[in-house]
Amino acid sequence: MIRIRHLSHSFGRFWALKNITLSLDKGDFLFLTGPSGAGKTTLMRILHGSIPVQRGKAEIAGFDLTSTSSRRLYLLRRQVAIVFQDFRILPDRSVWENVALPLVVRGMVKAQIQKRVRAVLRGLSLDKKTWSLCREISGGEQQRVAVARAVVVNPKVLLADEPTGNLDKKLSLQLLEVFRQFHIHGTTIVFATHNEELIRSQPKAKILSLKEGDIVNANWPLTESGT
Amino acid sequence: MNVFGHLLFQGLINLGRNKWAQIFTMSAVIFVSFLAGLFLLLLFNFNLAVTTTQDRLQYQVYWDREMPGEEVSEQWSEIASWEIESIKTFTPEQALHVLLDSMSGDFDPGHLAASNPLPPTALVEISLGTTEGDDPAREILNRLEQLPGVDRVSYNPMQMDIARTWLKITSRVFWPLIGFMFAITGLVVANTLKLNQINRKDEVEILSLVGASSGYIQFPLLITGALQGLVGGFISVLLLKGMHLLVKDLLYFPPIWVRIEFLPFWYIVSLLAALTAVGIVSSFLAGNGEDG
Ligand SMILES: Nc1ncnc2c1ncn2[C@@H]1O[C@H](COP(=O)(O)OP(=O)(O)OP(=O)(O)O)[C@@H](O)[C@H]1O
Ligand SMILES: [Mg+2]
Repeated sequence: MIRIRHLSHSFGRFWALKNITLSLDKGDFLFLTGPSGAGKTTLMRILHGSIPVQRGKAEIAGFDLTSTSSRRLYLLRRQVAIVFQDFRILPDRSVWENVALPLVVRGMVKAQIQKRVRAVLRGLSLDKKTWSLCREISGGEQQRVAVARAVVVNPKVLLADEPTGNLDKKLSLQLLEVFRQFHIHGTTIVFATHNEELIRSQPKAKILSLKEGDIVNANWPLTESGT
Repeated sequence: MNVFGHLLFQGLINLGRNKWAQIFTMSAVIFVSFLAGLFLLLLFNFNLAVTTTQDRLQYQVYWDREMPGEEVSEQWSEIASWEIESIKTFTPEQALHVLLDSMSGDFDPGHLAASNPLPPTALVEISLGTTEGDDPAREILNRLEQLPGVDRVSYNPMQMDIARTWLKITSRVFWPLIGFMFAITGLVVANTLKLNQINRKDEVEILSLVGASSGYIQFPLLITGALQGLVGGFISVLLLKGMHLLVKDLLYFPPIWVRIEFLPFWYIVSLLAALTAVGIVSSFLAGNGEDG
């Protein structure tokens, strides 16, 4: 599902990722950890096609990121959803509009959209805020809107960059539960977090630690799994 | 599903968002295209005045007196079919009549009528602006001189030079100026619209992040841009027309007698088309400026 070979990325002369190689199978649950500045967000953005591959190779959900043109990127993004560390939601639109957006752009019929959005909002305890504007809700609520918008499309791969950063313990566990539901149904999940407790609560998950762009630890053999 | 309708609707909705930004953008577009229209109007009228008054050239053609009248009138109808503005013909009798009319009353025409000394003549007027070819004036002159029976063709060489010079000036200045003006207007309008859309860059970026195709993202932007260009242009044309109604008789007094004409229909259409195209192109550029 994800296959990365000798991937390096630099911003100017600064190397944010250094020669990363790893593979994930369909249905894997990966925790990506590491101190601030380790390169977690950079890796996620490369996997989502937001920044181009400079060196090495990367494949995700059947798309070769080194050769997918920007015109065809949207096809990849229909399979790979992302929750940004900084949310990237539309502040002047309602919670509902933000969460429905990925379904609207896919041209889904209204009834279907309503069903899905309602279910996801309920799962993330956002149903009381359905019609609030996103700039008028709390940081934790905004974060959950970002998560809802990613999971509502039922993606093949879910990239979540610190999705619990603004959440208390109870909400974090609730959010993890939502992810686990998708995971059970076959979604591959990459979950970047500093939260040791969350990681420990999922003993079967794969864990990868980055530091200054290097892989410093992994709890599974990095290259032996297929794609 | 009616995706097209939905996208069209989105394009319209876009206009309703950020009302103030839209109002400023529209005012800028209207203002610039109004100025451009005004400039075009001035140029057009100037050119009109020049070409209708300065580009005419007259040839006075004299036939042999021996030429039979029927042959001369055959040639007259041939000349009339050339690319000329007008032809005034005079049989010897008509010429004499005109001549006598212009003289004082006590002149006795009796003996002149009996043996009329005047040849058949014609006054051929051509316009340098509408005829084609390298040197239409020269060409017509040659053709006139080569007609069998034509004795001589006279014209005022000064007049020919003045007409030529005017025409050179206007054709060298008129079209480049119009092109220049369109370029300036295009740049200003394009930039204004583009800036306006870059305000919505976040939104465009997010659409792309959640899996919208570039067509899906760009079509509403193009509609918005096209509408802004078209509506802005339309309003400025209305303003221009209002302005024209106020000033059209300003120069209509002796001895100028110039009525300021409004721009012809196809000028207006091309102005609007150009603005719409500028709107489309600028939103296309603005939409492409984002990187996923
Ligand atoms: N656009 C950029 N230009 C220059 N440097 C950048 C850019 N984006 C990231 N970096 C640098 O690359 C390094 C890795 O950044 P990244 O955002 O991937 O870290 P992170 O692991 O996500 O950190 P955090 O836990 O704080 O989110 C950092 O040192 C950062 O300053
Ligand atoms: Mg980060």
